[in-house]
Amino acid sequence: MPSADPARRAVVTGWGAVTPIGNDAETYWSNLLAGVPGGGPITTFDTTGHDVKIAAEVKDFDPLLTMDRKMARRMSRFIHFAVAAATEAVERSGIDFEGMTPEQRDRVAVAVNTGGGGMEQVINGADAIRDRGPGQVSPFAIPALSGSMGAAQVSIKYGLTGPVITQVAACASGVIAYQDALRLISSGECDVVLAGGSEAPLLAMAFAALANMTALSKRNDDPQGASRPFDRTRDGFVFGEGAGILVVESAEHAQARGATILAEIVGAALTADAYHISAPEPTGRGATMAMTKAMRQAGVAPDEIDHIVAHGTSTPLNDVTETRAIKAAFGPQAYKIPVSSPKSMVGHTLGAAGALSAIAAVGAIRDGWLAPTINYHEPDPDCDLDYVPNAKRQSKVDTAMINGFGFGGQNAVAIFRRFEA
Amino acid sequence: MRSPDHTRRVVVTGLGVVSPVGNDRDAAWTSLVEGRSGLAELTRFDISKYEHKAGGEVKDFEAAAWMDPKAVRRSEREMHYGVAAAKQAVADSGFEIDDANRTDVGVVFGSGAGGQQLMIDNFSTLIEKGPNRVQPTFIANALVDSTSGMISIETGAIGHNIAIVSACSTGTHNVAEGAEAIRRGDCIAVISGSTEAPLLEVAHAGFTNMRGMGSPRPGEPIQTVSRPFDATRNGFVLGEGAGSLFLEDLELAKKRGAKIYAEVVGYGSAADGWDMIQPIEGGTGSARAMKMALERRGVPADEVDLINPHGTSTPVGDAREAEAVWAVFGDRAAGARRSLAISGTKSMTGHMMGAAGAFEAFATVMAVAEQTVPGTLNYRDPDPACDLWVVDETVRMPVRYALSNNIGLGGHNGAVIFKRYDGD
Repeated sequence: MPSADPARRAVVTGWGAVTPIGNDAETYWSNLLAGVPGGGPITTFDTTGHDVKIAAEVKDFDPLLTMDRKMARRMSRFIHFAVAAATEAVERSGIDFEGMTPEQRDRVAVAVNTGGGGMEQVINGADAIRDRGPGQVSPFAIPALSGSMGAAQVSIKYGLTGPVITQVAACASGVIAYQDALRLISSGECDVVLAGGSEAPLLAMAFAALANMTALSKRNDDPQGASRPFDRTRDGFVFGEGAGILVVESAEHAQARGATILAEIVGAALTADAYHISAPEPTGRGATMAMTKAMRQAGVAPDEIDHIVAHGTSTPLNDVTETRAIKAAFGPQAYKIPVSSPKSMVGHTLGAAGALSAIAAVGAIRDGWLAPTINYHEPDPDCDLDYVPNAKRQSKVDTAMINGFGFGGQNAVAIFRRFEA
Repeated sequence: MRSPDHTRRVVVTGLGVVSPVGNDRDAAWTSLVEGRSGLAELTRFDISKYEHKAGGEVKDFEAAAWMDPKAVRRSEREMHYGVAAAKQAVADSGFEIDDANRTDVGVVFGSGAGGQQLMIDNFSTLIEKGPNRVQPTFIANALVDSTSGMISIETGAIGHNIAIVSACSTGTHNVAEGAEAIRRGDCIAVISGSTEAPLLEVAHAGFTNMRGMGSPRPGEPIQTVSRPFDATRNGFVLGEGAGSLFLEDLELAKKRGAKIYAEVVGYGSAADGWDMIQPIEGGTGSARAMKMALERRGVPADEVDLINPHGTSTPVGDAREAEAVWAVFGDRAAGARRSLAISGTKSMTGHMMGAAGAFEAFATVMAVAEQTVPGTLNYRDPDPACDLWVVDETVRMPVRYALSNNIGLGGHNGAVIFKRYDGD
């Protein structure tokens, strides 16, 4: 059960995001409710010869709004996203890092996770060696490709000297940041954690690889309708990019500075399938266990979960296995819980997905509206839950669960709850 | 009679209870969830000459509300509690016992010691007033099976009727054997449970001399006397009451649209063969019973989210039970894992002896139905010898399977597993 001690309760006081449907969290959330699709033709490379020609790209993003020109040029796109989302979250929360003493900043952590980090640096560096010689490889390529550099840049920007963490767990990465945040606050180790995920994977190589793996939707003629989680005709995910960051702090810290508390993180769990590099274990046992353990840690029963923000990737296997796992974890309650997949709009943003789901959960708690799962038209007999099809729904949400399942079998779950002092 | 079918599914559709924490389902469950103790200084006899003063008495109980007044006069609390709990369970189930079905409705309802107060009273009469004054009805009402007989009279359930005795695991065995009777084809439904009224001075003296009774934490209220698995525990405290579960064939329950609390899925029973008082070293008898309960119908051990333990608050008993839990569930049982919840309700009821297993089956079924685990009252100082996740505050959490475990004097071990009914 979460601690009763306000110094050990982890609450959310700010959010920031860069997404295919909005470059700030508030726009993202309102477009999510409005059912705005984020897919479109790939614009960043010539798709001639590629099987997959669609993606959910971040549009009109200017890294120079939150990073200086020189650093932006040296760093990778996922780092730009991370810094932009973190800056927004910090500003929204009203937290004043500059006004803190160095000792206070020692108790501020950054946990920004990613699946692949700055993969473009490898490609660019390899191209430079081949085309122009080793002397032309960027001296910043290694820091810029490191998965940890998103978190590190955020820490550098604000002088945050507590733990700086990057966990890599494929598509489960984003959710795990909230487990870390909860641990860091509930153990008393930190007062504040900037927690989320960032990913900028839209590279020709990655598209080719995932297309060859048959993970991606090939509905090139319908980029906005291609991501259709839980629909019978789903044929794979739409590749996306973006970042999401939440300011998480102890309730005591938030209350002391008069911050608006959006929600509390009350439980989280991580389990593994130990089964396959990309396919989920068919019974969903590991995913079920993660949901059950998170509820147990949170001290909430299945009938207290008002909303699930699903992993819901739109792949044939994930969606049926996730449905099965939800049914096993919740029993008959499963049919009463509205399940939404933001991926129907933003595509699969890998390491950022969990953070974007967290915003959807916190938004539902704050506003009493559930984001829809768009492009849902043909029910699948194997996916028979309430997926909030196509239109937002008004519904009071006190407690919401987010799921994130990674290639390799990591199953991460976090639970957010309306904060009550 | 129907054919035996060991895959037949049996569910709990009615609950009844008379206990130190409340005399009906809702009152008792609310007390458990809110951590209200039923323990206090005993009032049934002059306690002043005894060092151990605490007990769990049933309060504000009106036997005549449940039984014919003449029958009430001829019997004693042990029977009154049992009949009341049984009739509550039948009423709660909504099952109408009528001429068409009464021969198919059984009663499997036990007691550890039966109506001992009647024996004591009549022996006193014999000594003080002579043989002619001994009640002609006392023997029939004082037997261990007297309650199961009276339940059939009061409810009209005239199928299979039996009372199983196994000391402190009596309740567990009666509930689980009741379910087996349905699978065996003896009955379509069973009124199961057990009752006990052991708050007698002679029993109090006997347990005191056995050096089994506990005392409160020094300087703290009398309610702290029962603190299962706590490092400072020093003995048990007596309680009284009854619990009853109305069990029926799932298909029947579904057909009549009954409310289903839980499914009875596992049952294990084993003896220590070791000592008349202490459980065997390592708790191996109890471990075998729990393992058998898991294996009987293939319950996955890692989906058991809750154990209502025997947990009487004795130094040796609780440690041996913890060893048994570890032997069956491995390091999932560790306190730090917070994976396998332990909810010791004797912390609030005291040890209801033969009724303990039935009361705890009730508490376990409610935990499954409500997805809520009552906290173990008075648990404060963890004992390294009992490294378990002893839930100290009531928590709402997923409970897929829950096991009720009991260990009886003489080495009787019983375990029964309830499963959340998922509507399939």
